[in-house]
Amino acid sequence: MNLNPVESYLCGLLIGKGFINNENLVIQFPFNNEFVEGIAHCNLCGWLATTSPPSPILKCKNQECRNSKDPQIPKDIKTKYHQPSMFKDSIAKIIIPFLHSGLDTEIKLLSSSRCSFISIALNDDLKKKLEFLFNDHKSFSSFSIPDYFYKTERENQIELINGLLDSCGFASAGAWIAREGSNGYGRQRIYFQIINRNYYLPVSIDNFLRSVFSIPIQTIDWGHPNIRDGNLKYYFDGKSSAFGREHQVKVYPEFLDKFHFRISSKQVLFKELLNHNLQCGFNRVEDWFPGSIKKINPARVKAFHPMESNTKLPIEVRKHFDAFWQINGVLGCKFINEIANQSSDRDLFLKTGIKDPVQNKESIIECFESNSRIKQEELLHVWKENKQKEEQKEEQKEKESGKMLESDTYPILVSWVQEYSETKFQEECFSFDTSSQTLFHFFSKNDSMSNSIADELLKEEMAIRPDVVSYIPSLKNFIFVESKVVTLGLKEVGQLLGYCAIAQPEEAFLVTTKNVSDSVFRALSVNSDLLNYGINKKIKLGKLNGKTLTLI
Amino acid sequence: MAKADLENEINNWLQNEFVDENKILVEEIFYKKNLSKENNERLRHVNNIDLLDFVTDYAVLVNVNNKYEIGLINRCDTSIGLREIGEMQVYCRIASPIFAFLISSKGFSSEVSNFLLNDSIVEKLFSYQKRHLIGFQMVESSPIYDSILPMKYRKDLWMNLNS
Repeated sequence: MNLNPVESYLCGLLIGKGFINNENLVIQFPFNNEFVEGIAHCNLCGWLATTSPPSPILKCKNQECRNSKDPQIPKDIKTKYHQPSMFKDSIAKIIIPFLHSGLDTEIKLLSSSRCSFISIALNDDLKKKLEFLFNDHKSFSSFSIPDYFYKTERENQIELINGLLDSCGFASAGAWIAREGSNGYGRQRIYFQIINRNYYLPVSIDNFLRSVFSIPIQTIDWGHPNIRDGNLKYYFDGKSSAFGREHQVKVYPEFLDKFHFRISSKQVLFKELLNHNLQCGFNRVEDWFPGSIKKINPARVKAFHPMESNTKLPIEVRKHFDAFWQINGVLGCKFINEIANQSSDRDLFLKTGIKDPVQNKESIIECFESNSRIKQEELLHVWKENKQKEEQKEEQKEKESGKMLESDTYPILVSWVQEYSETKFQEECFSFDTSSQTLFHFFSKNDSMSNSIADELLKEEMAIRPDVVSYIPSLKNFIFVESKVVTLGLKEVGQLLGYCAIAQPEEAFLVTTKNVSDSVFRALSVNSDLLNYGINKKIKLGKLNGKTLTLI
Repeated sequence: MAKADLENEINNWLQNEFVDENKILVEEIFYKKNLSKENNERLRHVNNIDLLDFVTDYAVLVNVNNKYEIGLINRCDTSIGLREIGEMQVYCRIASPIFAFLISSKGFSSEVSNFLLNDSIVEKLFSYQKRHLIGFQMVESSPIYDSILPMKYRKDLWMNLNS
């Protein structure tokens, strides 16, 4: 099998932000803000200038410059780039024509103010190639760089990275790190941002860039509990899955000069960052892997994090780590593994960074683990003190309001639907409050269901947020419950109907603590199909009185 | 974009579409009105007007071949998600409007766009009777071509008038 450069670019797009569906491929090109700003340079000395909130005035980073003590640099010195138009134009006028030059298939564009999507119809040839490359993997949640690209022509390898840059690569003026150059300050970096579910891609990118192009990687910032939430702040605050933001592979732009973004707003920013770094004169080649690994200091280990054993983490990383390179190692970083294999004790090296033989392996490991436990206790103690103060404030607030909130109904509805589904379907069912996030994200991170059941739910299109769901294993389907603390009108019916049309739940309930409006009853009297969302499927209405739910 | 700005843009667009291109004869535009409660002689000629007991941002009374029909428009200052589509779907099932538009300054939300590129899902969500409700992003009083769903309406937003 041979790929052309266009197909290689397409693979880069897919790996970064793509889905393989039955009939088409879909690539996302997201952007968060309408405008993205370029780098600010001091109007007196040309050094990096940054904001120091709350002042809107920018401050020069050069301590010798007048603008560092008495800053006078206006914010509008930065160039602003309009992302929606630049993304759309680049996709419509550059990317789609480029894709057409090497793919004989239909390509459609869907754009909005925050994201553009392209849909590429799958023909037999493309389908076969993608099956060969990605096997059973169907989305950027699990893609990594296929081995094929280690052996293919240089042009294909470059186009693969170009595709990755356009899909998950980001150039941002705020992505600098504190470094002194011979002629300036602040070293800019390009980020590959990888969805948290995909733990394999960061190492795959690191291996590929370093092996094929000899590019140093500044660091990998893992969205793992021990790394992203090392002081357990999010966890103790009740945001147990907040560690799960994107992984970031950070690379200096001066090492990416053989590649280019086809998205014009990314490319102009890339040029700005590159020129800044060149002008500052950073001569050091900085690489997280300089060819060796330092031993981990036992006094500086990380606290145990309860989420490090969460079953939604891939099995390789479902454990404790004290340094990010340890994660690289267990996920297949070939450079770490070369050292590990040369070490006297591979497991000890991956746990502590110790390469040479030791007499007292067990006591070293015990010391690491004991320090992690002590740190966890210390952090918990500090958090409890802070939490007590917050709780007192919240109690006061609740006393003052006294109203039933929608969130108060969720636990009642979870109990009700659990009993309802188990009585009706005569099997063990699983009911949850899913109001805070989409079904897909909820079940991706929820640890209380067995993996076998969760897999059935992990369809990416479940980007919907019913308040409460119950899962019926034998039917591999849900019951949805949507709760309202207002009178049920046509608007509320419509909102649930949208969810149901997509997910086709086994049953759906719309529940209110108030009443059903006359307009709904009147419309139903004329149009009995109003609540239908599938063959023999209809939304049921209910009224919640205290803890009792009555179907209407 | 502020709600008021989007409303101005929609107003400009409606005037251009209805006046300049003369697609249909507009009798009256109702802004945030519950049509079932309006005391209006011409509205009484609309089928099932008493059932239209809801409020959309715009309801357009049009005259097609001497028959009064209603067109519905909702605007969102957030991106269009399943809730907004479902809400409009319910109104369409009740009112059988001659056209129905969901207009946002942001277009469809990223969360739903992936599956909205699947024609069969679009059909399920957007179709009513023999027509479709249509959603798009509006900028400077013009629909953004690439944002229009269902895609078949990109060439002619007013195809519903022929069905």
